[in-house]
Amino acid sequence: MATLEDLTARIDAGERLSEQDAAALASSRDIITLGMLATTIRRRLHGNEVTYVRVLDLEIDDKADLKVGTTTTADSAGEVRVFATPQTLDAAIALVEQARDIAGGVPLSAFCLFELGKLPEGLPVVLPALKKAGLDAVTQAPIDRLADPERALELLADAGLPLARMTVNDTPEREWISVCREVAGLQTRLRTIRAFAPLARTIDAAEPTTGYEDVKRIALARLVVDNVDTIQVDWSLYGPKLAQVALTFGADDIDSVSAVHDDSLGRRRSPVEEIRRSIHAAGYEPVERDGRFVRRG
Amino acid sequence: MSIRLGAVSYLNTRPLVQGLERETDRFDLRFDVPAKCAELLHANEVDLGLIPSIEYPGHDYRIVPGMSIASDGPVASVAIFSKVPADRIRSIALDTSSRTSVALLRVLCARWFAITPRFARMPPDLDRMLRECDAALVIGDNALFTDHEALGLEKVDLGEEWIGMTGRPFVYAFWAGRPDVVGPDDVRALQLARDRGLTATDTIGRDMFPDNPERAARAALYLRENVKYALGEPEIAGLRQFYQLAAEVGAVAAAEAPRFY
Repeated sequence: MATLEDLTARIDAGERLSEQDAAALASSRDIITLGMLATTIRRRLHGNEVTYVRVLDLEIDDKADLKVGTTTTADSAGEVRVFATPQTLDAAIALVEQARDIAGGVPLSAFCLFELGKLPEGLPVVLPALKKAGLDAVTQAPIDRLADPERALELLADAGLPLARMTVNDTPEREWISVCREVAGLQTRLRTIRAFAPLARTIDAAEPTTGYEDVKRIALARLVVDNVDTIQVDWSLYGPKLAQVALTFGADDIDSVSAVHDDSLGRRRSPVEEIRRSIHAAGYEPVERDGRFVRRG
Repeated sequence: MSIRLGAVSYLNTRPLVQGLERETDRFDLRFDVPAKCAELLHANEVDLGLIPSIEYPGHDYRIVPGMSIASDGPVASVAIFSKVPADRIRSIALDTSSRTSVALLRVLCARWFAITPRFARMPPDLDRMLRECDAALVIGDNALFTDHEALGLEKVDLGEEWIGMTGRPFVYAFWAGRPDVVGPDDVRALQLARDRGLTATDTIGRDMFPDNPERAARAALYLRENVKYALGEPEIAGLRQFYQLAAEVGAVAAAEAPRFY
């Protein structure tokens, strides 16, 4: 394997890691080196800035209507999000229309592309219908669940719907590096992936990953998926401490900061002051964005 | 050491590379199709690539100032050929060999024609495309030379529609590479090649179509009248707007500000 100095020089020059180098780094236990290399790419793409987005998650009540969890309105949010699994297209359209009314001019994302693909009408019908109903973006597309990710992303683009983030649903059994290469390959062909969130969305309570494994995945994602602009970590799912550490392993964006200022939500629903403090403490400059990745304020 | 240039050997790129192959002390020139040209740049196998504008976002590249492949009116070589008026199109067959043109079409459908057609990807065979869809995206020589009136089709020129929507030129491609790979003298050499090329459009037309004087003349006219090779403030403003709109409709991952050598 090349030395750290060689790899850093090559990454500084804009070269991609070879498959051998990436595989060697993946098998290494030296996460300090990994973090330094990932930070080289991260700083080249984003300088000293870390973006975050305040999200208002809409809940579904027992009448299948959407509601805002507290008395908060969408005003403070940079994104309004509906995380539901509708059973019919009509139900999905109804949720989007309700959410659109709540969101006003705030970007609205909803649903998982994999789940939408299960609707009987099929994505070529479902996605344009949701766009027409007022949806601004599909919330997530799990690379490990989509049978044909390239086709699914093409259909999203055809419908004029951006994807908010490419995700990984479960901790992969196959080599992590191959997942990263698959995402990078998709981006080479399609160029429509704005953000990649490399940590699994479902956490196995019986066998959770360790912090070491999580930051290593983030660093390898930054190194291999170097053609996707943003490596994202979820504040509410993984907590403030891992999210903060992830910033020193290649992550540049923090998702799911709660737009609800309610102390009862606990420490993982941190107010904006806390996230800004965490980003500063990691040595970066916080920048708030909206669901379209446009800076706020 | 020579700068490795990755160029495209299409008709509309010839004026930008005129004479460069003789500057072997400065440039090492190779020709590929546009997508390959971008791949070579992404893989750092060329220093500077004549890349489609859709390939620029998401990379730490700089653009060679002052020149591009653009249009500020009808471009003639990027168009949809349609059996129905644009606002009644329900399905479009895509020649996907130009991602920039596909992204432009998506933007126009969403923001100008106000239609949400079904898109189908298929090889650039106009007969087959129009058997299966209301309209077909056609690019390059096929778009330039196909007589749409003889076929009873409408030709919707995407360059013309873009300027109708935005009032700004559309930029299809430009030279780009990593920071610091070219200096001011190299930029001047590329601009001189462009200037030479613009005085040689008749020669380029004859070189491209040596056995067909009619096409050679049409090609020369196309290079003089339809394609523009500047990259000034109006083109940069058009490029910014394209990236912004393409990001909004999900045709490209992110809007990106053009950066220059």
